[in-house]
Amino acid sequence: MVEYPVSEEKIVRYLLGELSEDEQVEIEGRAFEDQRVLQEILTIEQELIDDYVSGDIPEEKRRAFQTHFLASAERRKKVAFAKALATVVNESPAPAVEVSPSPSWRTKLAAFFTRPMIAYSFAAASFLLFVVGSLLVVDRIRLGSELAQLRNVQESQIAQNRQLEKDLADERLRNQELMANRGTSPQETPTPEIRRESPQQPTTPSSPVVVALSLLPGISRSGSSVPQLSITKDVSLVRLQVGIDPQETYKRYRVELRTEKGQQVLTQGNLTPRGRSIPISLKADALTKGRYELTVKGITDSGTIEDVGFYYFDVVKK
Amino acid sequence: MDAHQEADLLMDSAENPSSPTSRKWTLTPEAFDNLLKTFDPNRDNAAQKYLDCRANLVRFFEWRGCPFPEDHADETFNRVARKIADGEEIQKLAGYVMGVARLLVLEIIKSLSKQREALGEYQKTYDEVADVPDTEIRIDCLQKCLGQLSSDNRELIIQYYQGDKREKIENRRKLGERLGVAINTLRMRAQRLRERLQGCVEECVNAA
Repeated sequence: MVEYPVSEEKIVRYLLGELSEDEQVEIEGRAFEDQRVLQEILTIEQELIDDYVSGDIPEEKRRAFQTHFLASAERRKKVAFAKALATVVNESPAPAVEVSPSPSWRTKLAAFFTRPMIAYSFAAASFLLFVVGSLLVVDRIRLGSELAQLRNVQESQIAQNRQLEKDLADERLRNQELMANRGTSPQETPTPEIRRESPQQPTTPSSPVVVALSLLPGISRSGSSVPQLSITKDVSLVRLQVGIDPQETYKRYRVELRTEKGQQVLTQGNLTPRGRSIPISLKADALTKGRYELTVKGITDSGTIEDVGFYYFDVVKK
Repeated sequence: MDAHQEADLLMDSAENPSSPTSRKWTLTPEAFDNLLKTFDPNRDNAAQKYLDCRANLVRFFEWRGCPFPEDHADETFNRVARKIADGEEIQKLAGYVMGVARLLVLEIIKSLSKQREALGEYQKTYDEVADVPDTEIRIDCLQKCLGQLSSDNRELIIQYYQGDKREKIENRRKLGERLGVAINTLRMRAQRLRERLQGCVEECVNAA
């Protein structure tokens, strides 16, 4: 897998105007070709601004910051915003820390239940209750499912019987009409036998063999957590189910699939998520053995495209 | 000299430095249409490509330390549109646009250094509060904009940026664990939220 080709240190030097023309051209070329590099530069730019605001920047870098980085009004606004953000954020109480001034009856009751012996007893009782409750729930679900199946079978048998009775009545009527035309008594002819034939199965072309893989957000490209997609020779279609973080609120998404070497395999835009995932289908022969990177981008109402996340998986051909 | 005068001077000198008396070319609707067509025959696609390319140009001029990135980006497109109007056939437009932008950067740098020489400055030092003085208004606006975020996003942005260096790193690690996301994903999310928040603050400051 190609890692971010530009180091953080080099990006900082680029942003401070300390690189040669050739080096600058190289970084710009990569940034405009590869969204990850662009994203990295934008993130490092924000971090550099934060370091400047908090004073965590060496003197020579500080000077380059003031002579080069702050040249545009937009950047000066970014710095002003960073100062405001630092002020507001550090004045805000730390989240998830709550202290109540005096203990209320609820607190006292809670304190009673947190005494070791009481707590252990309640924990054991709760656990037992949870286990029994879970078993009952599971059993109830199983029984409910069996009951539903039995009802379905019963209903289909009733429907079948009704159809048979109707067919028999029709045949009888037709027979009576025929007999009447021939002048024969209907009693002389035997009742036609109704044979139940299983309906002939329509001939369908063989269905494509599909292999599916679910990709979850937050999986790093390195390490053993990268999911594997095994494609055998008979597989013709691959379905990827790309999970989206619940915090993402985009209505439409765009996905880009690339090989380890950055070669684009697939691009699909205007994808609507189904629940918390985006389904993608592609031909199995589009994938060769190796690691793939799937980039998911969110499309805002104004049409702006923003990176949402990167997903990695390995393809194994068998 | 105020910022606008400086911008006008820069753009005039960058327009055609070799012949300052040459007539200024202006972008006509027809020339702009032809520029779009060169991006893509489909108008919707062309518009999207134009916007993407412009965003990259603005970033490029900002990264290069140019004072007016938006104006420089538009000047780049003017020059490209003029080339198209003059009948030049361009195969790879994005690359061509970047080439024009690089030439423009050289002109801007040259022009800036001439101005500094004339003013007897060695190197200009910019003061971040000189033209962004609304500190109190900005803080009020930021609080208002934070209030418009969902509680999850507000908590994320506060926890992500809270604390000094070491504490900040620890906060981010814990936040990543709690949300079940990799640090890089968290970084990107915080960055997007911050950009959105800054947009809201700038709108609020301008309206104030």
